[in-house]
Amino acid sequence: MHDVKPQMARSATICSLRFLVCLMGLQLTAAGTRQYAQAQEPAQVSDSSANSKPADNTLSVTGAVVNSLTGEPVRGAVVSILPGQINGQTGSWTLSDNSGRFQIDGLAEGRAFISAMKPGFGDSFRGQLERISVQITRNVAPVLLKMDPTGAIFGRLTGSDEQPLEGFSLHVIAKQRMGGKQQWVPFPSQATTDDDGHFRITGLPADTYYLQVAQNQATTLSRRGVPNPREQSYAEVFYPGVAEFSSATPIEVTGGREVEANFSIAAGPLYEVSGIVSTQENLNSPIVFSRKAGDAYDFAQSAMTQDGRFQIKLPAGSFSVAGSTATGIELTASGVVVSSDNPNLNVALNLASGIRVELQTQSSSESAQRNASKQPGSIGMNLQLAPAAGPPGAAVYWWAPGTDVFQGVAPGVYTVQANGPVGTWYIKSLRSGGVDLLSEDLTEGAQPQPIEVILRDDAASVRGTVPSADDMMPAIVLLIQPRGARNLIKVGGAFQGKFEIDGVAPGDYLLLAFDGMDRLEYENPEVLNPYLSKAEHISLQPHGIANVNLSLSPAGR
Amino acid sequence: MFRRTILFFLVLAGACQLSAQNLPGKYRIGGKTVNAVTGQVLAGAEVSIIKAEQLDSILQKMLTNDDGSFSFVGLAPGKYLLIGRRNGFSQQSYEQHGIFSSAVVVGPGLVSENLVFRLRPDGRIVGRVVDENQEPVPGAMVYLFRSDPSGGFKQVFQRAQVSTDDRGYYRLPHIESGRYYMLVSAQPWFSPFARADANSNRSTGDKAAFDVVFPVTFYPGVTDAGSASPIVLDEGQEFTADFTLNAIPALHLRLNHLNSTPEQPRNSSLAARVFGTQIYLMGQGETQVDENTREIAGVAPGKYVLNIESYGAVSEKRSTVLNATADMDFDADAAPPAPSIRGIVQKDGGLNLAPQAFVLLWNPRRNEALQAPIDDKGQFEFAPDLLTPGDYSVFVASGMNSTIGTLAATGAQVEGQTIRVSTSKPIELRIELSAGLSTINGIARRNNEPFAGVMILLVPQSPEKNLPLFRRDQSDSDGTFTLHDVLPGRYKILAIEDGWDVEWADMSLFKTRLDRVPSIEVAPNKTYQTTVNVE
Repeated sequence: MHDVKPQMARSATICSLRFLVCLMGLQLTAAGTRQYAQAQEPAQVSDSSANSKPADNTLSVTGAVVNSLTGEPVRGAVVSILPGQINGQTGSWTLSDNSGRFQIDGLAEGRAFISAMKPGFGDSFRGQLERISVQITRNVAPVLLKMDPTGAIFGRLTGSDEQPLEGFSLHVIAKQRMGGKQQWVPFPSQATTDDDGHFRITGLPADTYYLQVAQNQATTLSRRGVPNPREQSYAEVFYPGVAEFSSATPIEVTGGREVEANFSIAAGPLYEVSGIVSTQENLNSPIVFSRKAGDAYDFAQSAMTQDGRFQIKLPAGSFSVAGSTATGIELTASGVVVSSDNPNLNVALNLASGIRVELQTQSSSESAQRNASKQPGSIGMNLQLAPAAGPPGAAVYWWAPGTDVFQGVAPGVYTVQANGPVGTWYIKSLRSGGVDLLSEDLTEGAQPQPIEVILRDDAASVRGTVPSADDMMPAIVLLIQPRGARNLIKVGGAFQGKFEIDGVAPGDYLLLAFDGMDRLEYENPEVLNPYLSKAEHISLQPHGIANVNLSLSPAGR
Repeated sequence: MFRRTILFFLVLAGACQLSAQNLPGKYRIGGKTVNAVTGQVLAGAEVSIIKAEQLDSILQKMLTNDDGSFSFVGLAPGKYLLIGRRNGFSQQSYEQHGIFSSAVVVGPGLVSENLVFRLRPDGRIVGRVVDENQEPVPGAMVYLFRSDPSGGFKQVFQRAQVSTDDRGYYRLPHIESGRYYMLVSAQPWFSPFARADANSNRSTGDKAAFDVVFPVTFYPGVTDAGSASPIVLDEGQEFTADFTLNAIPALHLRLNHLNSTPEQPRNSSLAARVFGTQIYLMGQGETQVDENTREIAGVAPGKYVLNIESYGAVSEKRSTVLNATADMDFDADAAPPAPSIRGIVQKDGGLNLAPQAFVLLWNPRRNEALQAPIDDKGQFEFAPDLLTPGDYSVFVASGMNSTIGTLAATGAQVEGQTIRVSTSKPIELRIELSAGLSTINGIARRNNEPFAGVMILLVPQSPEKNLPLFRRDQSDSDGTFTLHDVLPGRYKILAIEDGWDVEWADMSLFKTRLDRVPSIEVAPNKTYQTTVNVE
C-alpha cells in the first residue's frame, strides 16, 4: 500500500530542485559520472578541511551585482554559490541588498562558482548563466557580477481596417545552436494580443529575432452594408505581414531594450468548397488541407468526411490534402487548387510515397555479408531526415531498423542524420543513388531512390583527457574528417576532464576540444576550418584504441 | 474554441441557404447600431439574426454601414434573436439583460424596422502589482469577483482571473458594468529557493530572507476580505486598480499524526476561502518531515480551510477552519469529519437527465453554494468542506423540465423547496421531479399597447421558501413572453419595468404591487394565455 500524497510531495520536491538546478545553469550530470568523479578525484576540499579543522566552513565571499549595461546596482538578485568540485558539499544562496551588495558566509576553502539571477536578466532560453570562478580563501577579493538585462518586442496588431486584432497568438523565432548547427527555433515565451491588439514578448536576450503570427480561427466579414458578405480569415504571417519566412524582416533586440513592432495583416477571402474524396484505401480520419507558402504551410484546416463527401471553407491557393487509414497509413494528394467557390472539388488521395532503406552489415569476423534488418534493435541506430533549409517547425522524418521505409516524405532537400549505431558498429557508408549522404544532402523527388546503409563492426575508439577550468561545464570533443562542403564529424563529450568515444570508423582524424556543448556552429566548415590548423592528428586502425591528451580551444560565442 | 468551431460550421449552413436565393418570406428586420453610452452610430458592427426556434444556427449576418444601419430581408413571420458585436463591444443581443433579451417579432402589422440596437461598450479593469520596494511582481494572480443580483438575491462569484506580466501589469478586458471585488495572490519570485532551503542546514538569518510571503491583498490594499471595497464599473469604463504587496515572514503549519493508520494514508490541502470560493494560493509548499508529519510552508497569516482526505479501503474526509496567526502544529485527527449530504433524484415515468445534470444548494443570505453532479441512477453526493447552518434552496439543473415536485429530507427540515441545516448530522435528500409542468404565455401591455423589454416575474406562494419556483422572462418586441416549466400551484405575475438590477426575489420590494395583482391557479400539463399590465 502506497501513500499517495508523500509520493506527490517528493516528486514536487524533485521538480522544484530540478527547476533550481536549471535556474542556476547547472548542466545535469549523470549519476554515474558523479560517482566516477568521486572515485577518481579524492576531493581537494575535503583534504584541505581535514588539514585544518573538522568543519572549517568559516570563510566568506562578498561582492556586488550590477546591470551590465547601465552599471546600476541590482537589488534583490539571488546570488548563488556552487562548489567547483562535486564533493557532496551543497550550494548556498543569498539576496543582494539595496545597493546590490551581497555576502555569503559558511564556505569552505576551494574553487567555487558564483552567479546571480533575477527576472528581467540573463538568458534562460539557452540556459547559459554567466558564472564567475572564485578560489575561496581567507581574504578573497570582492566579486563583481554583471547581469545582462533582457529585452522585449512589443507592438500592436491591426487588421487592414486599422481595427485591433484580439486573441491572435504571436511568437518569436530565435537562433539556437544545436548539434553544431545554427537553427531557427521557436522561442519559448509567446504572447496573445489583448483587446486593443497589443502584444508583448519578453525575456529576450540581445539577438536577432523573427516574429510570427499564428493562423487564427476567427473569421470576419469582407464588406459593410451587404447581407451575408464573403467571410475572410487570417493565415500564418511573419512580421511585417509576409507569408514566407525567407522574406520576413528580422527584428534586432539590443540588451535591455524594448523594440516596437506594430503591423497590420490582411485577411483573405474564404471560398466554400465541397466535393468527394476518392481513394483505393479505407479513409478513417478527417482530411486536412494545408496551403503551401514557400518552404512551409501558412494555413491548415480540417474537414470531416461523410460517405466520402466533405465541406470546407478555404482561402485561394494550392493545397496538399492528407488523411489516414484506420491502421495509420498516410494518404495524400497535392496540387489541389482553390480559386473560387466550388461545389465539385474532387480529391483523389493516394498512398504517400516512401523512401526504402536497405540496411547491410559487414562483420570483420565473417567475410560474408548478411542482411541485418532481421535483427533490428541490436544495432541501436536510427536515421532522421531533416529539411536542409527552411523555416522552423518543418516536418522531420524518422526511420529505425524493423521498418522498411521513411513514410510520406514531402518533396524537398533533406539532410540525413544518423544516431548510433552502438558498440563496435559504425556506418561505413550511407548512399542514395550516386549520392554520398554522409557529406551531401538528399533531394527527394517524386520517385525516390532507396537509401543504402552499410554498417561494419570493427570500429575503433578514442580516449583521453581535456584539462578544464570548470568541472561542471562539459567540454565537447570533435573527431573530424575534412570533406569539402561538409566535414564528417563524430562528436563526444568530456566530463571532468576525461573523454571516451567508441564506434569510430577506422581512418585519419583531426581532433579538437571546445568548452561548452553548443557554443560553436561546428557543422559549418567556415566556422570550424580556422581551428583545424591547431588540431591533433590521429590515425585509427580497425578495433584500434587511441589515447590523446587535448588542450581546450576557446569557442567564440 | 469549441464554440468557435461550431459557429464556423453553422455560419456555412446559413450562407448556403441565402446563396440559393431561398427567401422564405417578405418581412424585414432593420435599424441601426449605436453606442449605448454615447449614442454615436456604430459603423462596421457585425449584426446577425437567429430564428428563435432554431437557436443553434445563424440565419443571416452583415456588417453595419457607415451610418450604422443594417437590414435583413426575406424573412418569414416569427421571432428572431438579434445579435451584435464590434471591437470594444462583446457579443450581445437586442436589449439584453443577463440571460434574457427581447426577440424581434416580424409579421403582419408588427414593427421590426427602424430599430435602435444599443450596443453596450465593454468596461475593463487594468492595473499594476508591485512589491514594497515598488518593484514589479510578475506572475501575480489577479482575481475578479462579481456581485450580481440576477439569481434573485445578490451573489458574489468569481468572474475572471488573470496574471501579471513581467512589469507587473494586468488587464481584465470585456467586463460588463456592475459591482466587483478584487484580490491578488502572489509569491516572491525567489520562493523556490525558500522551498529548497527547507531541508538544508543553512544559517537561519539567510533562510529568513527567502522565507517570506505576500498575504492575499484585496482592493483597495487591505488584507482581510471584510475591509475590501467594491469597484463599481460603468459601461465602457476603464478602471485602474493598482496593488502594493508587502512581503511578511511566512508561517509554517505542521500536520501531526497524518499517517497514524498506515493502511489509510492521508492527503492534506490548505485553501483560502474568499467570497464563498476556495482559492489555492500560490507559494505554498509541502515537505515531509517524517513518516507521520508533514509541513506546509509559505503560508500567509489568514483564515484557511484545511482538508484531510484519506485513501485506501475507506475514503474519509475531515475539514476544519484554521486561523493562522503564527507557526502552528495541528493534529490531523482533531479535524472533525466533513459534513455528508447525499440523495437521489427521481421522476415519475423515468428520469431523462441532461448531460452534466447537477443538484445545487444555495444559501443566498450567506453566499454559500454547493453543487453535486447527478449520476445516471439519479444519485448525488456533495463533498463539502464546510456547511454553515442556515436555509438552503434546492435546485435541480438538468436542462428544461427539471422542476422539483416534492422534496423530502432526513437530517434537515424541509419547507417548500428549502432545507434548513442546523446540525452536523448526515443529510439525505429525496427529490421527485414534477411530471406535470405547465406553460404560461402572455403579453405585457401598458395603456393597452404591447410593451417590450419588461421583466416578467412569476412569484410562487411562500416565495422565501420556494426560490426555485420563480420564473422570469423578458417581453419581446410585440410584448409577448413565455414562462416555461411552471409547477402546478398558485402564483402571481408581475411586470417590472426597471427590475433588472434589483434582488427580484426580495418580495419586500414589491409588496404593494403584489397585493394589487390577482392570483392565478396553474394545473398540471396545461398551457395558459394571460395579459399583464405594466405599471
